[in-house]
Amino acid sequence: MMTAMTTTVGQTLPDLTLPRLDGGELRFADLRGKKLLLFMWGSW
Amino acid sequence: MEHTGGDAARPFVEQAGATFPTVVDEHGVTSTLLGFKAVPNGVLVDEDGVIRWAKYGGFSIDKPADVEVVERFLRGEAPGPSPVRDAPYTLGPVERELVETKLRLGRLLDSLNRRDEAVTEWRAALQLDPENLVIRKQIWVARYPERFHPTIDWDWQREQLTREREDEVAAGICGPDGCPVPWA
Repeated sequence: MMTAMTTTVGQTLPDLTLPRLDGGELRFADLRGKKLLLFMWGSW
Repeated sequence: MEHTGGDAARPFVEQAGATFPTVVDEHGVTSTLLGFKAVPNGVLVDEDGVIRWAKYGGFSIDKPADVEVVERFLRGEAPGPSPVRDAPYTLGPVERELVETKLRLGRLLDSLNRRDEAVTEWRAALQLDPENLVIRKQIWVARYPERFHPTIDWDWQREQLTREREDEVAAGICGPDGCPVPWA
């Protein structure tokens, strides 16, 4: 994915599909209708 | 949302007993999209997919103030103003794509066991974006694996960051005041 714009507060989170750790994929658009807390971390 | 790769993340997720889905973002897609240079971050998104609050750097469920914001949001109240970013993403679109391309190329080379070439690409990316702690840590993991396995040496990371910033200032990469590296 290449995007020139940074998405900020008040804007719609672009649809993303990322691999799940337990297998399969998670599509963000499938989570519409729920409140989300995205927690971003690194193992380092 | 984990930023290194599945194998590195799994023990942490298992230890935490996480019941929510964990996804792996080894190409740094979310970092580019949301414009952050360090983790841990917390982002609240409403039912319509709109971002309502974001804290980049230092977000933790161990911090009562952060938990309070999340609880307010869940109760249907406004989460309040988002913390101001220490170091907003200032790269232009061309530089940003270049950084992302070099990161991706580095990860491909690394996966082919061409580690020296991978580090060369990551260093080029870091030079374009010296405030980016995600890139910096990627290089550290490749160059100093013993500082990350079996345990993470946080004191070493702080010392290494100080050393590298001094070198970068000496080389004129970040100006006389150094690079404003966010440290979570």
